[in-house]
Amino acid sequence: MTNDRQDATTGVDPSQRRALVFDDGLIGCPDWRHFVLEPEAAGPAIQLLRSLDEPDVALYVADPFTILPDYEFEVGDADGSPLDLSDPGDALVLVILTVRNDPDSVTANLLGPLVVNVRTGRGRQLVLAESGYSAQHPIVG
Amino acid sequence: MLVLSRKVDQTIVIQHNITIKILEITGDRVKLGINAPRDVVILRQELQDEVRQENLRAARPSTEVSPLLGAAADALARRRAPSTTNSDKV
Repeated sequence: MTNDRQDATTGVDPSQRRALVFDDGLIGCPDWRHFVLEPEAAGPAIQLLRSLDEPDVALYVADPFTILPDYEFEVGDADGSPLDLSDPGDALVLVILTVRNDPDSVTANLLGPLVVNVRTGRGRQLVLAESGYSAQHPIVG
Repeated sequence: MLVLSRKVDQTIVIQHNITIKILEITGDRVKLGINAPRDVVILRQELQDEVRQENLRAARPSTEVSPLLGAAADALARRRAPSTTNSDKV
């Protein structure tokens, strides 16, 4: 396993990139609909979700179950049926990371996970309303 | 914005199949009961705002890779189950 710190725009095998569509965009950002998911943006555990609609928008994402092994939630019909997750094996869950500088830290948004159907390439951002999960769950710092 | 006044036990209907009923008014707090089809997302606005604001904070030009992110990647990689990476033997 390599631990190289890689610039986010190099070292990515193009065949591993995935085009994703969020039909309703992200929460509060309805125009951010088309993305490319690039693996290994900063080591194997972090991927880059790069917007195709907004050139300045790129989000680092990671697996929430590595961050919090007990992480769990239900996908209700409101979010589940647009994604057609009849086969739960099609689901990929990612959470967005924020790099903060006051104080220097990295946090994960566990309150608003991204759920992607890997078969169809469509995703949605959920808000886990009564979960108690934090939008700023600390990872480092 | 459409402004309506309701008393306790009165209801508003939206789009024929979404209803909001005033259940209780106590001091400055109103308790609402909402009936909606299962495919309708209903959220307290503060939660939606919190996620939206975090999305905006997280978005950054893709040419920047903060060293903090490298530290986060290392922290997460260490937590992964050994079987997925065949690195450390436990």
